[in-house]
Amino acid sequence: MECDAPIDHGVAAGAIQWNLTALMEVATKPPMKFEHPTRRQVLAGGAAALILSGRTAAHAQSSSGPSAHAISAWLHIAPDDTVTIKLAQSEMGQGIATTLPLTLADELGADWSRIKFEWSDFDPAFRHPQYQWMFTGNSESISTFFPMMRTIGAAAREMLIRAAATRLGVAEDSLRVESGRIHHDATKNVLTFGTVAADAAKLEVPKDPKLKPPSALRLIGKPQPRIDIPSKVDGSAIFGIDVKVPDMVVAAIRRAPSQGGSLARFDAAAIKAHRGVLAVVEIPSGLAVVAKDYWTARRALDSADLSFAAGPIADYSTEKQRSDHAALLKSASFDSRTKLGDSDAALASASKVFEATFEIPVQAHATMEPMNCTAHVTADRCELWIPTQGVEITHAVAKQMTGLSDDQIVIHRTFLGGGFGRRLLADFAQISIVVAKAVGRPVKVIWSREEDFRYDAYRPPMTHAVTASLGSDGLPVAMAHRVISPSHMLYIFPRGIIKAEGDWARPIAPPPAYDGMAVEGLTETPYAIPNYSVAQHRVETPLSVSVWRTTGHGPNNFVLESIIDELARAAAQDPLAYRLALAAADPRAIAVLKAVGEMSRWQGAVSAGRSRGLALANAFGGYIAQVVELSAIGKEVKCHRVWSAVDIGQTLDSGIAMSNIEGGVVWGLSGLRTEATFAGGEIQQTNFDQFDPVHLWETPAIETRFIESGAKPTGVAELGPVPTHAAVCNAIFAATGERIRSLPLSRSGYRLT
Amino acid sequence: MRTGAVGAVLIAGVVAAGALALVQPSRSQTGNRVPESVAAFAKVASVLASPRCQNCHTLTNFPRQGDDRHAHLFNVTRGGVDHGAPGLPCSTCHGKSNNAASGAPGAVEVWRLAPLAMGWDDLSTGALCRHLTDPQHNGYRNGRQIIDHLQSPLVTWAWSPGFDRNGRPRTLPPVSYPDFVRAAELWVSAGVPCP
Amino acid sequence: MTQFSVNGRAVTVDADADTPLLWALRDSLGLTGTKFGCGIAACGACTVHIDGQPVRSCSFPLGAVSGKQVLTIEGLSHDRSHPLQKAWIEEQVPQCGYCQSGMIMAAAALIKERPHPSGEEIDAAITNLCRCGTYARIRSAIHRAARGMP
Repeated sequence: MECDAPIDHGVAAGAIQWNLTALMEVATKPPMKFEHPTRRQVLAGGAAALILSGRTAAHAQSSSGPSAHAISAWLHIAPDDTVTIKLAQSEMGQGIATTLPLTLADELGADWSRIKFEWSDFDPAFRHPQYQWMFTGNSESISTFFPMMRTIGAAAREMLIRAAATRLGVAEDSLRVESGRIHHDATKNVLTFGTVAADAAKLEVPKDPKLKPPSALRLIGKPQPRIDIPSKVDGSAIFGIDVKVPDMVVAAIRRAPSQGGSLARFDAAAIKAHRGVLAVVEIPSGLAVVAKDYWTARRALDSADLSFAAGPIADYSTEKQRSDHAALLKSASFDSRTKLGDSDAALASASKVFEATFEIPVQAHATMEPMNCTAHVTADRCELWIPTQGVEITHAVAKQMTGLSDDQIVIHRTFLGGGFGRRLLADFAQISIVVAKAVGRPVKVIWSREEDFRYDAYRPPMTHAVTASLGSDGLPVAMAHRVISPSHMLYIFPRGIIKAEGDWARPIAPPPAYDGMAVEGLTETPYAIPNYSVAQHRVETPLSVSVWRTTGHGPNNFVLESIIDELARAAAQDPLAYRLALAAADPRAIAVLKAVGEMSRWQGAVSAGRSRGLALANAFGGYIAQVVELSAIGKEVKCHRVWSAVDIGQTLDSGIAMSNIEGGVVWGLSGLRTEATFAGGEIQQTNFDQFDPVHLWETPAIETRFIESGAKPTGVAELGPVPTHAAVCNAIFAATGERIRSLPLSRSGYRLT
Repeated sequence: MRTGAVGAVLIAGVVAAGALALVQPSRSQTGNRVPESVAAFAKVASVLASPRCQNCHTLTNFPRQGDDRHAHLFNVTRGGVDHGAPGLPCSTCHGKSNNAASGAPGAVEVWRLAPLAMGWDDLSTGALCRHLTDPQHNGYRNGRQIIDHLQSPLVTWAWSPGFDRNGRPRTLPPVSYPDFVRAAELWVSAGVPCP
Repeated sequence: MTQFSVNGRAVTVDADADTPLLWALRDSLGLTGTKFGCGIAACGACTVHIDGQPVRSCSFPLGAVSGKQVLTIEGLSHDRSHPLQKAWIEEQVPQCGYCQSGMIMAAAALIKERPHPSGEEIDAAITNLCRCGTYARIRSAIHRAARGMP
């Protein structure tokens, strides 16, 4: 593909053999598991390919290059020249299914338009090297796997060249690889990858493969058509909810309206009397009704007389949670792991102390595709078809529930209709396994939207007190944060890290008192504040809680950037100039601040009736500065424009990165309006008539610019929303003089329109 | 208190239909029936002011929903011809019958807003009465035609408004349908007196 | 038994008359391009066309589709050649993609009636929910498709 030619996505998309038949082939044939073929199998000829046998035992990628196992986990080159790249990171809209394979293909020199893609199962080769855990989340896929894709691509390229050099009897440096071919320009000899793949497989894996110089990369660094988009505009993309396998039945579920409640009474016979009902299966907290199709099951379930006993959270309410947190601010002990200077002393001796307490609400994920999983459990096999971010935990839960061995557990992944952290958990796999065991045939369990809201693992509520004092230059000389929060990470800690055994489907308590995620975005900031402390009180919550897009960064940035804005005003300084001074030692922060100032013409006059707010964030390894321009008429707020300057080190694909920021801004705006509230232990928002994210007509104009700092590439999917809360609330202050301290906006009577 | 002149206009307007004209009755004719017919109108008005009717007989650029009459969710708007915005007609979600699965109400007649001319927001009982008898605000209907309109599916829907998405029945107007129609007929035959 | 046509093909579905058309399409006919998002006609992921008009199929009973012509995302074209599909690809609109079938069908209903919709008309017609926030590109794609239309 010529780099300078306009991208004809239609042609490229058609040529890329991204076809769903391939996906469904994966779904029904035995998977490639991490039993890599033995050396004997590889050398047997015929089917030999670049599947490198496990001569190197190490699974983790060492600094001496990728292992044979790692290469063969990701890349398969067949004698017929088919190049297959495995998709190990789940695709939930962030575009990772394009960028990682593209990186590998670019470094390798494969023909990108002819790559075959397959979702991978769980395999230790795909683990995050540091956490030793396979998952997709926390904006870590690029930072983790981008370098690995290059190394693997380079190693495979060198092995192919070596094999070709031997075959042609020429020097290796007389060969070049381009578009899936190995060229010997001197003689015009050209070999396909497929021709030399078997030979290459016999070679030793290079310990230190040489990466291409940037000038030799054709694909990375330029916006590329995403491989999944064509199937997402013609209805052919398969999400978990779309899975169909032979002999499959479908189940609808209904559980106690309060998490942890139990099914007290039901009449199985009456339910089974409905035409088409095949089975009735008890599940934790409720019931599954099984039929040939969803509506038959759902209708029987809806008309069933189920009585539930309220469970342990029967008296949980948002009102009580807020007052409990407020009381804890006064009485609880706090664990502080971040201390610079002595903020206590500095604040005690300050002539003026700024204090504010902020409240962050519970949030629901509300992915557009409700939770679902298809499971088939037999005596010797557990097969799942699942839209999951958490392949390894799903594998672990399946293993625990069935007692089967690793290679008897087969997980087929699909596209995810949104993840946002929700699909890291294994609860929806667990329920499907329970039902599958009972019915003895493949069963697809689909959650209704109401079930999805009721049994979310919510973003936990937080209360956050901050105190600060200013120096003579007006900049903060002391700042102390006290954060009250449940753990964000209860469900997603890999057991290997915590070294705890036990029920994999249940949350695990992180180390006592401390959850790093609850204070991220505070423990490291771009600001030089000489006396600075961050303390946390980790509070128990009976709600099921977990990570939500932006994790701790979103809530904490709202507080930090609100207070910084307030301090700037108190010091009679411009909010941008103030931050430039405070972040003077952080060049990446300076760059994004200056850029957004330029983009938004911050120094210039604002149109009549409009106000602006600014916020800066360093999150997930990247930097973002954002300006929001809005108008407030009474308490009605309309956002008109959002400018973002973003530094993710190196922008590997500006199109995909841009879409993540655009969508992220919408996520951030939505979070100013939505919340999950509870009364009597029950969530009060069970569908989109009550939980109202931002829609098209409310979406402002969004402009984004990327700064290439040259730092190592980091993720972008969660960066966009991080500064949005504060940017909007700072703009509201500019418009009305009112500080928003408690979200959502409705708590202060404001309405986003 | 309507002038004879207006009544004359109406008579002229409906003479072709040959229907019962809206005539201002003389006091001698209606004498002791006036309090009864005013009470009848009060019944009619109580129905018209109820959410089931008022939610579509709005003066706003959008319908209303629910007993609390909040603005219809999801930015649903009136559109140029009261059928919803181009590309999002009311029939997108509202079909020929109440839908128990989704909770969306529906009726055999195409779901739509009443035209702005027939909006009743914040009208007093007296103003509502005058509205209903004003050809510019009642679709140029005479008394018989007003009664006929009460039989249209969108109106009768109010007494079988179905269930919301939580399975809760929507509240009915404060008067039963037969009583409502009887009251309307009484009011019309009394010459549509307005309080 | 309900007989109707889907994407130009005559079909018969044997399911109760109150079955939402959405589930008849997905389960009985295997057309999974139309999605389930909420079940209360709030999100638009289930949008199809019936006799040329947009309908949220989760709120439309099978019994009422007898004799009618249904168009789903699968029937918009054989090869992604509908102007909206081309525009959606050119603008790289979808992220997770789950809402996009409904979005495209809603957009198709709009441009049928308003081949060159204004920004306000797009705002009023496209009320579908997208949790990934692709709205900015949806607007661009609709304008792009409209520019290509006579």
